[in-house]
Amino acid sequence: MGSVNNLLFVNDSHEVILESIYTVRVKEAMNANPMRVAPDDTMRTAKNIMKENGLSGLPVVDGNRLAGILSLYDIMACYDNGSMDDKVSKYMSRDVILLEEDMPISFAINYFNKFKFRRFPVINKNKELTGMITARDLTAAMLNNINKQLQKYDKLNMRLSDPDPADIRSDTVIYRQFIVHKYDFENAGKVTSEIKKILKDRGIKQSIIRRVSIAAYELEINLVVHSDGGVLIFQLLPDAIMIKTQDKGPGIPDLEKALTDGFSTASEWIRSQGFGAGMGLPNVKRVSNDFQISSDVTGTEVKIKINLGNEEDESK
Amino acid sequence: MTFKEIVEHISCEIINKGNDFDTAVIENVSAGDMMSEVLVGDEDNRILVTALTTDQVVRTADIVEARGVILINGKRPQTSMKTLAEESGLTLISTKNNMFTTCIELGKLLGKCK
Ligand SMILES: Nc1ncnc2c1ncn2[C@@H]1O[C@H](COP(=O)(O)OP(=O)(O)OP(=O)(O)O)[C@@H](O)[C@H]1O
Ligand SMILES: [Mg+2]
Repeated sequence: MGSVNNLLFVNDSHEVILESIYTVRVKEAMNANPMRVAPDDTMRTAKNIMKENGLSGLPVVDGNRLAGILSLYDIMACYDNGSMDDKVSKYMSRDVILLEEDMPISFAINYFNKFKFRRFPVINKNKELTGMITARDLTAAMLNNINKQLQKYDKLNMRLSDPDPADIRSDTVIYRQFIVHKYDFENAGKVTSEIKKILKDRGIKQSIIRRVSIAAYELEINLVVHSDGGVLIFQLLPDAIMIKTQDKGPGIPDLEKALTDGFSTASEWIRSQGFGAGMGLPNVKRVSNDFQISSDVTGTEVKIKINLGNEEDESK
Repeated sequence: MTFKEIVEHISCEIINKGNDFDTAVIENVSAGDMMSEVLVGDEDNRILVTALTTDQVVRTADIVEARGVILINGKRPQTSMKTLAEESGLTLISTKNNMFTTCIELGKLLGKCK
């Protein structure tokens, strides 16, 4: 139970933990079809079931209705003052604290914190017993859910960092992929520096390097300040440079607006970091020979091309 | 104008002497705290005037090949900004003057103000 308490009171609980506390239902965590006794069964029967199954408590069910709960303490009381041939109904507690199967496990965690019991019966909408839940069941269900969520995140990250074969042209000279994290201001701009260096080493014309850097930087910063993280892909082709960014969301609801000079959804603190003039995407468009953007709630993709040829003819 | 002229005419402190401190000829000024607004312009031989003290100023200066950065209102660079300026050989100056006064002084030096 200690571990459950700790989970609840850790202030900086990771989002994943919080999410599992609120999304996993008692039904998914409980032990369904638990061992049970009837009110008319003897205490001996109850003791044997508990002993054989290593249980410290048993629900007492009358037909489908939960009549009470029998604990080890009740068995001990019976040893001391009664006979093992007595009926369960004589010793069981009738004041039962119940959980409903549709409650999120946050309720169950609360109950374990509030009451001293080690297990709670779970009932459905018709008030029938459908399961029992222990602190151990809870921990297992949460860990399971956290695991699943993490796997999902990993897959997402992998999908983002796996090169899309459609992106790699057979004549690609250099191909680089960079992962960019949300709100990572410390590293923001490093991808652009890296790209700039590659182009300098290749002896690319200064004016082209500047245009590529502007586009890369604006797109990189947009990933940092507006997206949930993503990748920036850089490709040097014999005749052009391509940059593509792809992120995990939340998407741009109105693309036309987003491309308007001066439109920004940046918050005050982002503005205090020097971003949010609403000039980023217009800047990218201005320096590119080809500009494509698409977006939905699963993410935004921007693809641009800057030609290596004679700039005066190419760029507008 | 040169950095020497700037330092003579504007009360300021040199935080980092860039590689081209003695040779650079500055022809333009970009003033503001929004990095994309700096990136809109494509003038050469610029100096940036800003109250922003983060790495991003140095990165932006690097992209537009600005010759240097003047921090206004007595702002000091964040440690990482200073380090990055040193690494990239960018001149970094701090003045107690505000944006308006700084720009007027620079304008005078450039012969763009009376
Ligand atoms: N990758 C992205 N994911 C989600 N929203 C985005 C993304 N990129 C841009 N946007 C949205 O489009 C708007 C306009 O982007 P743009 O880059 O032009 O301006 P900005 O980032 O707000 O400011 P600036 O680039 O001038 O610092 C943003 O405010 C944001 O709402
Ligand atoms: Mg932007």
